Amino acid sequence: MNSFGFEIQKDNTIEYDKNDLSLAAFVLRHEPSLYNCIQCGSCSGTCPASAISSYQFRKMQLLMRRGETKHLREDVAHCMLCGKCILVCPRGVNTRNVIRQIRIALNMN
Amino acid sequence: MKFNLFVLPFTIGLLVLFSILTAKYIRWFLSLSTDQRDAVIKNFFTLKTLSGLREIFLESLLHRNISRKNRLLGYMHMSLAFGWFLLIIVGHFESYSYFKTALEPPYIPIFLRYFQQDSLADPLQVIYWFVMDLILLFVLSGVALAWYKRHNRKHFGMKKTTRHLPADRIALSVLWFIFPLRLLAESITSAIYGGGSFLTSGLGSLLENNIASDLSFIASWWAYSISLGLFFVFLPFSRYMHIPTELVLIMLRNWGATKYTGKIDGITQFEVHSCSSCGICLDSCQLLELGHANIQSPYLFRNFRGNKLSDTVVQNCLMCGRCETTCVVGIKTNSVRRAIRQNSDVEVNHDYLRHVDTSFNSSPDVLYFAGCMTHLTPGIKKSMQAIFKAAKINYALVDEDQNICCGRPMMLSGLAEQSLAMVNKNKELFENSGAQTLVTSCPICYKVFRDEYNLNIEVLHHTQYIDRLMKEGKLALAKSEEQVVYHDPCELGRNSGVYDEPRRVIAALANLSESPANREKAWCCGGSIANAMLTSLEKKELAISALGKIVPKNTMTLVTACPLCKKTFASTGKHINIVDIAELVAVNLSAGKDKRRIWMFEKIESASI
Amino acid sequence: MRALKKEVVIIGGGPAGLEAADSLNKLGHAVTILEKEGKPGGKLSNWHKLFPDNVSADGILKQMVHKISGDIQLITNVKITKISREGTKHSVWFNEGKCIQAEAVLVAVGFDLFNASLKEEYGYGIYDNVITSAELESMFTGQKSLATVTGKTPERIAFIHCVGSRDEKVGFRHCSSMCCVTGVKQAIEIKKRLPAAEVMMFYMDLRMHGRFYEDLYLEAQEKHHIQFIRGRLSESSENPDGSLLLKADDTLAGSPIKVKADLMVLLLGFVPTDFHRKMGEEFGVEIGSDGFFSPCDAHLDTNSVKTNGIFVAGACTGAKSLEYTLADARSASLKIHEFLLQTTSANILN
Ligand code: SF4
Ligand code: SF4
Ligand code: SF4
Ligand code: SF4
Ligand code: SF4
Repeated sequence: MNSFGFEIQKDNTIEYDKNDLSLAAFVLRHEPSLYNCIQCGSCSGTCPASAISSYQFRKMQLLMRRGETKHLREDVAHCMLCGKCILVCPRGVNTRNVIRQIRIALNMN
Repeated sequence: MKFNLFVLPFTIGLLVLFSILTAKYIRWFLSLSTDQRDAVIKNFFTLKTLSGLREIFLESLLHRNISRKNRLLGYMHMSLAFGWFLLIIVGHFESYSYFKTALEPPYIPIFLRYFQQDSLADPLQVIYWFVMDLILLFVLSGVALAWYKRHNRKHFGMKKTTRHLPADRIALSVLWFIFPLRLLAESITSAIYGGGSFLTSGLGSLLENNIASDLSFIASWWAYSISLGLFFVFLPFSRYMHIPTELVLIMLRNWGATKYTGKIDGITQFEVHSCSSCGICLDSCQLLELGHANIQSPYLFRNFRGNKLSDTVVQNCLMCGRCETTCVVGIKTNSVRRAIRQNSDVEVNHDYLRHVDTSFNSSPDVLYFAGCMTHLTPGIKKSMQAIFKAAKINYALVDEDQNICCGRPMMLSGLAEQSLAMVNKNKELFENSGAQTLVTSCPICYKVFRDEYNLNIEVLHHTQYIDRLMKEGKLALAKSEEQVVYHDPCELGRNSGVYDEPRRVIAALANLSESPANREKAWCCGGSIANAMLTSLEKKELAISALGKIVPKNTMTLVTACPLCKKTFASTGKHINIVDIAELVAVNLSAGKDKRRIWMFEKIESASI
Repeated sequence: MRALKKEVVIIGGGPAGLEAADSLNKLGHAVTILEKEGKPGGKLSNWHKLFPDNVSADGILKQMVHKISGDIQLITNVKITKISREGTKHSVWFNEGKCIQAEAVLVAVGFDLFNASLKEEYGYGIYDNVITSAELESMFTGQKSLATVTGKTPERIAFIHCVGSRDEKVGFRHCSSMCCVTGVKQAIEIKKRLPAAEVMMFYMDLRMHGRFYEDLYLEAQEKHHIQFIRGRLSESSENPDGSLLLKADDTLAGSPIKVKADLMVLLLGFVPTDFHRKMGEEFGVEIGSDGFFSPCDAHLDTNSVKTNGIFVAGACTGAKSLEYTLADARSASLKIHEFLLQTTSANILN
């Protein structure tokens, strides 16, 4: 019994200063409308993939912008590109291009 | 042996051209799919070959399609192509009449006036001279027009014309020189040796005193030969590659070998190389309104040929198909773009679909698949449910609670292979139901279910289904005096060919007016799922502009048949009622009970503040 | 002062128009109010109680209407066709050929409520149990019963914030600023009437920015146990029993949420009227990106527009609470009074 709780428990602090923000910077540069997101959740509430999986566009891109990219590759693979999210976004975020740019960025890595 | 050194540039050019063409064509033929190749073999010795040759004559030589767009433009193309063709053919006959053999080297008929300088006092020769002069004049008139067109394209019914690459420009300049040089060479020959007819001997007598000499005589033949040789060498590397390739494409098409396979194959190559960059399709592209001026099909094809594709040129397109219906060569621009977009490197993981339950606890006759978009236009969904109920149909709404996208948005984005998990899951769902008919409200779903799912269930768009119910007398409807205009959605109209059913349904319910740009000429609403690059403001701009062009002054209601069109047009905030056909029918069924919701806007009164 | 008596026309007989009429009258001017409806009061006449203190809207309106007397003339059922100007005189034309002249015109046309059918995915006009905040008020005032369409007492009621506001997809990017507090006020009222009902608010941000509004928010939680779910409604569908299925992303919980509700109330945004557009197009009055009138100076002169002799007051320059609407109307009255004094002295000098 020499392991303390914090070793098994995951620390979920976002270490913003340590995180790599280059991926987010790439995506924002190629699809600046992402800057306008207000995290309203319209996209992820309407998303057919979110309804049946753990994927959420809203959360995924927010985490990416905080440099939390560990699950990004896995997350972005869920999208079906149906385009519902674009139709409901009140801020005109070009969600499908955000997804495309994330995929491009990941492929370049 | 009839020979002179000056024929070498022409002969070498011709050999180079033939070797390159043969190499390329063999490569492309080898990359045909088995189906495509089988089609060629099966249909080679049939009437299809003849009809192909007929089409080549009508299109590649006479340029009938271009003439339909604009007479002058058609004449220009015809005089160059058909004229040149005649020069060669009649040249051969003339050559045969002198030398009585068909096995002359190919340069003989081309430089015939050099090799047959003497007058034979044969009336036939005079006739040949006259005919050849006439044909040359015909070709020269085309050259003159082509030159004039570079500077005054409006007279040719074109607002935009393609910007050309260096190789194209060189080939073009050389092409402009070929026929004037032939005229010069033949005229000087005539000045020195006599002969020729009204054109060459006429010009010859003008040149007789100052220009015609032994030196200018041979120099002019050299120049003519060099210009031909240069043109041949540049041809495979310029847009003029379309001249021979289009012939092959027409044959392949007639043999039924051009079916889209989902990837870049020999057919894609033949299609891409058949584009002459004529630019006739440019004016149909709505993205020009937004200033996106280098993504249109000819630019895509050219960049593909030159291996210089950029993300923008590939992706920034609505795949509305407007250019496809305008293309005078009949290139399947949408299929080519889709093939070019294919990218199997993109990782997609739809494993979560495994958990979706596809069992059915009812046994419906008809399945209704609303579609992703239709969940955002519940007016359409509810109207369809009311229609099923009124017609007493045993139906089931498949995607009530959760839905899997049909897969077409991914296919259009280049992820066709990756969409298979979705496709299969949906198929499983449809087939488990035991239903005979699948009805959908979304033209995007309709297109893919019908053309790519290989279902053994009949697939109908709701406009077709309503049309059928009306024919069968299952809906009690009455005509109203409402004035409406119909908008053909790209995916339903141009891309699926459904034009008449929607019109029949509307005409039975309201006064239908047609916008000038209807059917295959219809505008895209701008919301196309195939374009991920446009900003929301740009899409709105396209929608506003399209609305302005579609809706006549005295009409307040636009009827469409696509949830995406409906949403896109509605987001313009314009005071126009945007209504789906299903809603029009449902309101009619309810004897106008829901009328207020659909007709939100009455006529705006004039001149009141 | 009486000697200066001038004609002022006020377009709109809502709170702003009524308040300005009273002030201008007290400053010695003759005022005509042109009202498009059959009676004065504007949107206030359909409202039940006012935030944040629950006073009766009807009571307030009665006091305001009471002041219409003497030199204030009220013309109802007016349909204005044209406004023109010769020199310093304005002619306001209405109802087929009638005309009234004035030295100054005060535009106090207020706002429209967003047409909820335009947000189609919410189902207004399609699903029977989707109602608007205005319709809920008329349930409170007793014009309709507080029940579902089938007459059932609702067990769960969902309020949807920002319908027609903060949404570029319907063409209105602005925050209507009054709907959050209206929603919370209405939610509390429902709980007072139907204590057993469960009430939830779907919001993106709660903008409770006026004095005592936050107290209302606290009261909603503390006393009435109203649930606040941070997520914009994505879409709704109808269950076979006529109840609604709401789909949103519960952003704070980090998961999509599906909720059944018997009644769904859309908190409608404030949007410009047709009159705004026409005044902009035909009379050159400046319109802001939100479609409302833009006064000359957003800080120093909130009541003048670039066109001389035309003034604006109340919610027609953007959403305002009643408190600010009335203050703005009084400020406009002073501005008009100054203007009339100036034109008079200019006339005397001539
Ligand atoms: S709908 Fe738009 S604004 Fe809302 S969370 Fe999604 S991307 Fe952000
Ligand atoms: S495009 Fe992707 S993220 Fe957007 S709603 Fe469809 S599946 Fe979800
Ligand atoms: S498909 Fe449409 S958007 Fe694309 S190039 Fe052709 S006309 Fe333009
Ligand atoms: S695609 Fe067709 S119409 Fe367009 S430039 Fe090429 S050949 Fe001409
Ligand atoms: S006041 Fe509240 S509900 Fe109204 S628009 Fe602003 S944030 Fe939305």
